Formats: sequence, C-alpha cells, structure tokens
Amino acid sequence: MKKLIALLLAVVVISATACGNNSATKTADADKKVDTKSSQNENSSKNEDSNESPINDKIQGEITVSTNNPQEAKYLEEAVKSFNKKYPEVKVNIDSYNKPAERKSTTTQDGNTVDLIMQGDHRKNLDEYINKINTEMMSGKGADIYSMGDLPYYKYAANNQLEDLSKFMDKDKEFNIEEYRKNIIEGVKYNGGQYMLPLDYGFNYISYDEKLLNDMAKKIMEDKNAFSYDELADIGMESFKNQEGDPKKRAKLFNTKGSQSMFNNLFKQSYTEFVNMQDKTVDFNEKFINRLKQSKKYEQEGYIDKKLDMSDPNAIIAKIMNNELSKCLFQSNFHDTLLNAYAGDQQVGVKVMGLTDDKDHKPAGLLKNSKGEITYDVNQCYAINSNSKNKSTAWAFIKFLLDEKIQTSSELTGLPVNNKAFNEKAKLKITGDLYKNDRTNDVTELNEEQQKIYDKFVHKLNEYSSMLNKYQIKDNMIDKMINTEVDKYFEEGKDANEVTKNIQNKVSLYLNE
Amino acid sequence: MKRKRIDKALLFILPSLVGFIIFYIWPFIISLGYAFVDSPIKGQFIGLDNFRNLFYNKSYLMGLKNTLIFMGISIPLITALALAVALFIKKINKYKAILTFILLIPLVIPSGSMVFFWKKFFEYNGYLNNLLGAVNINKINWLESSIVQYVIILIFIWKNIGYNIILFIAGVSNIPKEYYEAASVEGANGIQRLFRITLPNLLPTFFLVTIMSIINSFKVFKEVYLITGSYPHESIYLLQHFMNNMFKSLNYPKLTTATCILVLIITLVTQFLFRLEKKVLT
Repeated sequence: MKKLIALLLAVVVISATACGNNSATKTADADKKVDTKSSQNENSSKNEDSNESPINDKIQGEITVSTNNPQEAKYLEEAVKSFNKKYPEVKVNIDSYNKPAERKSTTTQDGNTVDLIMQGDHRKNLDEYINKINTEMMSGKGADIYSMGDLPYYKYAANNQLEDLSKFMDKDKEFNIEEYRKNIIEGVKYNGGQYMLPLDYGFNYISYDEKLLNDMAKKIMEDKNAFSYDELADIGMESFKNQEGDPKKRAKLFNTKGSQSMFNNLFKQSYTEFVNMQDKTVDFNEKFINRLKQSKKYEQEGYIDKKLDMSDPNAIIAKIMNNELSKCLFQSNFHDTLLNAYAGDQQVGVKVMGLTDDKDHKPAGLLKNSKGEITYDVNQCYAINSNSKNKSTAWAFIKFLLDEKIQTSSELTGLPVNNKAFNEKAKLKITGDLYKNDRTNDVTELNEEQQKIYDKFVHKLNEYSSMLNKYQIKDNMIDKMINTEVDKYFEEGKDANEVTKNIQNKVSLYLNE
Repeated sequence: MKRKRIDKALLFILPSLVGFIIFYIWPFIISLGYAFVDSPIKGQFIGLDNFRNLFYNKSYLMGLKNTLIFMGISIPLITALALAVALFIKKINKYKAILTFILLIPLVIPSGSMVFFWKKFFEYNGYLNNLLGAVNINKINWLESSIVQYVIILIFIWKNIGYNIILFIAGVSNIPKEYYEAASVEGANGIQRLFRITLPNLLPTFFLVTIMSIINSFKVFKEVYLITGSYPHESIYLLQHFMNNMFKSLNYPKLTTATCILVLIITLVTQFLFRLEKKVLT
C-alpha cells in the first residue's frame, strides 16, 4: 500500500508542477530546439517516401493557409482569386490570426496626402500564435500551409512537422528553379532540406554622401562593394572629424537614431559570430561587450543622432516635408530606396523617403560581417504541414504564389523571387503603376528616359541580389532573451559584462535543452 | 458463495479516485510511450536512447543539480524553522491564535498577487534596492545573479512555513504531558527534554513534514516561473523549467523521459522515508 502511495505521490507531484503552465502567464515561450543530430538521419529517410507521389494527385478539395500577418493575408486573398480562375473546384481558406495594421492619413500644407502605415504589431501575440499552431500540429491537424515569416521554421523541420518541398520541386515538371532567384530559395534550406519556399526577399545596402567624404574615402567606396560597420567607421572618420561649422549641426557618421538601434544594426550583421544555430553553440564574448559600449560611445561622441521620438508621427512627417532632416556620411538603406539613386530628378512612381537628408548619397555596396557573410531577409515564405491531407493541392497553391503575375502584386512588399516578376515590378515602380488597382497590361512599356533608369536600377539590384549569401535563421526566443538584457543595459544602465554573461548563460541553456 | 465486502470508505473516495485516474494516472501512462521514440510525430522506437541521452544533456543536468541543491538547503531549513516557531508558539500564553493565523496567511494568498509583490520588491529598480540606495548601499541584482537562489529559498519558506508549523504544533500537542512531568521530576533540563522527549516523539511528524516539504519544493516552480520566466538565472534553472520548456516546444520524448526519471527518484525517496520511519519507530 505504501509503495502505491509513494508512486501516486510521485505522479501527483510531477503532474501538478511540471507541465502546461500556460494559464499562469501570458509570456509563454513556445519554441524549442530538438536534438538535430538524431532528426538529421530521420529527415533524409522519413520525408522521402519513395512510394508517395504527391504531384500526381489531383488538385482538388479544400486547403487552409494560416498566417499571423494580416499584410500577408491580403496578398494571399488576391492570389486565391486568381488561383480559383485556374482551379475553380478548389477552396482555399485564409486563416489570418491578426487584424490589419492601422493606417494614419494626414494632409500636408501643399495639399499632398501622406499615408503613415503604423507598423503592424502582429508579432506582439506571436507566442500565442505559436502555441495555437503547435497544439494543432500535435493533435494531427492544423492548416495545410503555414506562413513561416515569423516562426522558427527550423524547429518544425527538425520535428518532421514540415514537408521537404524539394521532393515536390524535383518531381513537378512545371517547376523550373532557373526561373527564380536560386540563391535566395536555396539559402533558406535547413540541414539540406527545403522546408519552406520564400516568395520575396529584402536587403539593406550602404550609401555614402559624395559631398561629405574626402577623395580617398570616396575612392575606397567606389572600389569595394561590401563593407562592415567597422570598415565604414575607419573610412569615414577623417571626413567626419574634419567637418567645419557648428558641431551640433554637423553631419553624423551613420544615419542610425539612438545607441540601441546602432547596437541592433551592429549585432544583426555579426549575429553568426555569437550564435551558431547549427552547432548549438554561443560565444557572447569580449566582442559583444565592445559592441554594447561602442554603440553608447557613438551616441555620446555625436557619431549618430539620439533616439527618435515616435510619439508624434505628424512632427516627423513635418520634418520630412520641410527638409529639416540631418545629413550623414553613411546610410543603411532598404533596397526600396535604390531607385531614388538612379531616378535623379525624374518623377518615378512613389518616392520612398527616409529620415535623413540623403540627396547627395550614392549607393556603395552591401553590409557584411567579419566572415564575409552578407545577410538577407525573406518576407513571405510558406511551408506545407506534414499532417496535410491535401499536399498536392497545397503544393499547387504555393507554386502559384510564385507565379509571375501574382508576384507583381503591390501586396508583395519585398523583391520577388520570380525573375520575370522581379524585372516587371522594377518597371512598375518606375512608371508609378505598381499601386494602381486597374493594371491590365502584362508587360509594362517604358519610354526612353525610364528605360535608362530601369537598366541601371535593375543592374544594381541584380548585382546586390547575387551577392546575398546568408539567410539568418530566426529564433524568437533567442531574440527576446538578447533584447530583454540589452534593454537593461541601455535603459537601466546595467553593467555590460553582467548583461553579456546573462545572455551567454540563458541562450546557452536554451540551445542545450 | 462468499460475498466480498466493499469498504465503505472506498465508495466515498471513488469519485475523486476516478478523476485522479482520468486526469493524472491515465495521461501519465499513455504519455510514457513518447519516452521510447525519437520524435513526437512519426516517431521510431529507439529503446532507452532518450534516457541515455538525457544524462548527457547539460540543461537537464543543471536542472537536476539545482533542484537537489535547492531541496538540500530549503527542506532542512524550513523544517528547523517551523519546529522552532511551533515550539515557541506552544510555549507562549498570549497571541497564539493570531500568530498562527499570520503565519498561515502566505499559504492562502494567490500566487499571482504574491509574485507581483516579490517582483516589485526584488527587481533591479525595485523597493529593496531603493531602500539600499537611501542608505548609500549599491544596488544588488537580486534576480539576475546567483543571489536569486536565496531569494527563492526565502519565498519558499515564507509561503510554506505556516503549514509545517501547524503540523508540528499538532505533533507536539500529541505528546503526553506526563512525559515532561516525569522528566522534570527526574531533573531533566530544557535541552534534555527537547532531545529526549520532544524530538523522538515528533519523528512521525518529521517524516510527514519532510514529505510535504518535498512536494512543496516542487510547487515553488510556479512562483519562480512567474518571477523569472522560462529561462531564469542558471542557479535557479530547475528540473521543472526543463520539463515545462520541453512541453511547450512539443519535445514530448525528452519531457516524458525526464518525467519517468523523476517519478522513479521520488518513488525511491518516499519508499526510503517510509522504511526509515518504520525502522526508527520500531
């Protein structure tokens, strides 16, 4: 009897205290690593069922696509309309976990309407979304297709919860990888498996102010096409310090606002120097401490501006419209602004403006880290759930999302992976027709001036796109750990050594679980 | 034909027993299968590999070590403190009831409210550091340094001491007064009465308090989790953190493996305690 009581006690203790603490707190940490060593062997054998031929199955029935990003849902809804014209018997449900982002419109003094799109906070409840899909997957159900944009897809891949799409890509005669950005698609592979397919991608490039840099610095910028932040600081320091006039009104070294943003940029570039996701090792060392201190120093020494006050968007818009922006020697720009550099005075579609006066800026190249890695981001990327009962239709839909016409949609905010769509979208940006709802032409015609701009613009885009060689695997949990501790350094004045030690211990603990 | 008599007591506990089996025992049994496969979905049988691998898992070993250290410090400490306070309460004539009541309050305060207070009290810019700052003492990182394990022990003792005190008071009350009278007549002093009469007669209570403290030491995970999250400072990363994180990341094989080992350890410990109690009392 006592043995039974002992056993029952043990079970009560474990059951009552060990598992499922979701009700206790909102900040659930839903992601985890699995020992990839054992699953590596499984991945190659399990996902390759030699008898399964998903391509040959008829495209029919009903599928569900799940996303937590309402912006993606808009793109998907557009795609579904066109997909149904091709496959009218198929029903595609879009399951969007969040509402669309808020847009604030304001009219300037000269009558222009400026739309400020408030950054959607779809990532705020990411943990809840992850919990939801984890539960669905574990119960053998869930959507057929998942958007992997914000999710740690490598964990699902390691747990055999996602299909290896290469078996679809290889067997589907209608799919030709040469029609797409191969380096972008293959760059997201995990352990040799193509567990998700990116639809679009983005990158940042560096530009420099031609009028502010001295000749020697300009020569270096023109000769090279990839730079690290440290190299840029070395190249531009002399020009920065030799500026004349009121020190408060001088141009900054970088366009970054605030020491924490500076740190985020520095860290993002050198992420793999600290975290190795493949080996599950971390090394937050002296270099990390130096990055923290360096970021603070940059703001203290006036190399960068102070943090921007985002509480009054109208004030920011007023500054932009009244040309009251500060200058900088080097600027990290999103690829969207590359067109500005080649358009000159030509009116080209929607002009993308930043928060610095960069009219004298010239593109120089991309950011790299000490390992020579040049990272890129993917915006929309989709994966097929292993539990899906309709994989052939799911694959047909994902393939359709890569279609040339669908990829020219303005709802696809990044650079399309479809090569033809890539070129066509560049033309639409130049003509300004990208955001028109009533586009009827499949191919955009350019006049002579526009053609010149297009040739330079696309040439540069292609050059930069081909340099991209590293997709950084995202892990929300690691990012959260680092951001929480780094916040304490910048906001609460905690010691850099202590912050670094805490990050090292926590991330190491997490990866070793 | 012999008719089996069903114990009436069993009928009374049957509803709870059924619920216990459905919500605790049965899920535990059916989840055991995960301990022998390599993946929660389309898993293949791998024998005892999960058990072997677990003892090479740094996080699991850290959790195990920290749990044992925590129990090794907090259980004797809470037992000794509870006994001391119980004996004190037994000795005083006034305010017995109100003291006992005050000591039981932590037990009934909801964890959420309590956690809110402790967090505000111990955080880097919290009440305690502000107090220290007022007397020109540097701020201490109570929750993100190795000091946090003592904070957790303090919270554990604060929350659970009341219950142990009640058990000890009941135990002491059951010791016949004649023993003390006879001892006084024999010339025994206070210390001798404590070691020769009180403590030996409290042995069954000691065993009960120890077992309840072991259970409560696992329950403290709730407060630790609410204050410090899923990945606290390494000194308070407990076994339950490991298991909770495995559950949330759907790594059921590792979770159930760790659970099986823990069930085994607790069974052995409680078995040992029961046998020791039996041996000592006879």
